[in-house]
Amino acid sequence: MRHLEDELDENFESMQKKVALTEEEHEDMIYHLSKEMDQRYSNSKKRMFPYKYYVSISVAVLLISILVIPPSAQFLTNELGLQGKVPFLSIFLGESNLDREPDFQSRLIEFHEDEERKDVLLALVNDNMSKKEREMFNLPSEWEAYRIKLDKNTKFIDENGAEITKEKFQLHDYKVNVWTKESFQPQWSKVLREDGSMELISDRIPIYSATQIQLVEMSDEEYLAVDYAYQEGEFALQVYLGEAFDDPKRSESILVEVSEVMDVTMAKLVSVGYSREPSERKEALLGINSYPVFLLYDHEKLVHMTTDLEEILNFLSATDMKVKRLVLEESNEIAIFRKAVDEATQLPGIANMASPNYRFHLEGESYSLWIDEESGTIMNNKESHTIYSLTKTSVKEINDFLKK
Amino acid sequence: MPIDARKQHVKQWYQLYSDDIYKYVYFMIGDREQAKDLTQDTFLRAFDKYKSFEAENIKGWLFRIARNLTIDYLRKKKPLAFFFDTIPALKSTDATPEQIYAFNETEQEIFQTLEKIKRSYRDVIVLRKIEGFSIQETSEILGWHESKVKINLLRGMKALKKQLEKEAENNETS
Repeated sequence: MRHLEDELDENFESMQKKVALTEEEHEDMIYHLSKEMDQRYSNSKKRMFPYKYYVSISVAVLLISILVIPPSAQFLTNELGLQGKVPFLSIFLGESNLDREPDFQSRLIEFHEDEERKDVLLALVNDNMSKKEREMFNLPSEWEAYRIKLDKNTKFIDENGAEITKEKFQLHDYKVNVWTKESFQPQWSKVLREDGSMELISDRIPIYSATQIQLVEMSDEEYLAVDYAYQEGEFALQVYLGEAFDDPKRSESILVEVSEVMDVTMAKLVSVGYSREPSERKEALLGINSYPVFLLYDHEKLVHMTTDLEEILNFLSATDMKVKRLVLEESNEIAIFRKAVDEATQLPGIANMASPNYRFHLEGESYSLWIDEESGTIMNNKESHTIYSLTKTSVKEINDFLKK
Repeated sequence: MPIDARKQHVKQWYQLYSDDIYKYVYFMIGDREQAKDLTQDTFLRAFDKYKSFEAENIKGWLFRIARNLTIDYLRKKKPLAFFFDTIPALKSTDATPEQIYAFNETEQEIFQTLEKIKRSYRDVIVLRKIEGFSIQETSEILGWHESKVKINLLRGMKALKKQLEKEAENNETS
């Protein structure tokens, strides 16, 4: 079995090298990509009002509601003890209906990717999941969630009750209060297929139209916590590029440097955010005044803010005292490690090891190294499931190098 | 931000990651032309959704887009089979990978067998073994727990080996 697995790995490697796009194919694709991007941009400028569909629904709902809603609304208001507080009809007659309490509070998540259904959002009230599970797009078997349809009558207001535009509203990643047009019934829905696969059955989620959506005031702590790493021992990096964001050359070089830092500290740096600039609130809260700036968060606070990426690398390296970064500069040093990698033999089984003693870079690859006087093991960080044992000679040579 | 800069970013991502994305899609669906289209669509989608890539690792984000598009494509192609998660990926009329990419006989067999196993197994095998993503990166792309990635990889490799052995037996008896 082991033998077959090795063979498969070799075949996979060879196959992945063979499957590639030709230069002509690349040229062709770049040309079409470019053309299509231009076209989309000019279309988006022309597209003034993509709400035709919802306007007709609104008209239909208006007519039906005038005919049907009053008795049921009356019944519901009595049931809920909200007599006199819920002027249902007024929504449809164009008056504001915001004196009553919101129907629920939730986070709104973009739900559909396609243009036609873009205005249906997922309102997640409760899913009993951790932040990490949520950001990994895991799905619970049951949650309290609603599909929320935005239409041209949906009113967006800020924390203080002032009306804001939909575009401004979309800039926020706040919790929101939602008022629905239809009478609202709290409900938990089972949304996953019974076989345990992660396919979401969206039709099972109740759908409502939103009359009004309001941003909910977040404490400074809550506001910043969005950027924190998921759990203890992990870090999240947020990069704000400022003007460099608009300069492809500068932003690319920063992107490459950041990916190198991620590579070296891969076990600890769990996420990297990359954007132009923070919100005004975040800028003020954290006292950010120059760009590009790098913000490193652990699971409960901002731990380091700097304009020098090297500091982040040093910080991360220093947090794990056991792992040292080896910088190979001389050709004889490179030769020692080159030989060690070439002659190492693969060990059976899946690697599940403690933090390495060292990390080093060689010819574009990043390796972890565990070593003592007697033996040594290396792992290519890209292939964390496979480890290799060093030859006796390499163990000695590397130990000699480390002693220097 | 200026549209030119946005375009430029997407083009840079294309330079950096298009080969990897193409490989992933190709191994998932086994159709060269379609894989090219879906690769291109991935970058167009990235262009459209540019704002939402905050707080993400770009390569992982692009792979998630590519995976969603691939799943959409497979779903449209074979809705019922998708439901049962057993979509045979290889198009019978397509030129074989042997012809296109000079696969040797064993590679050809592996490729064809890979296309016959469950999509979720294929997904994790392609990401881990062919694209070389770590368990953690794979779990981010697939939206699975790391333990689910490990289990599916073990099961997927087992299923692949079993299927290869079965094919070998069939070839011997025929």
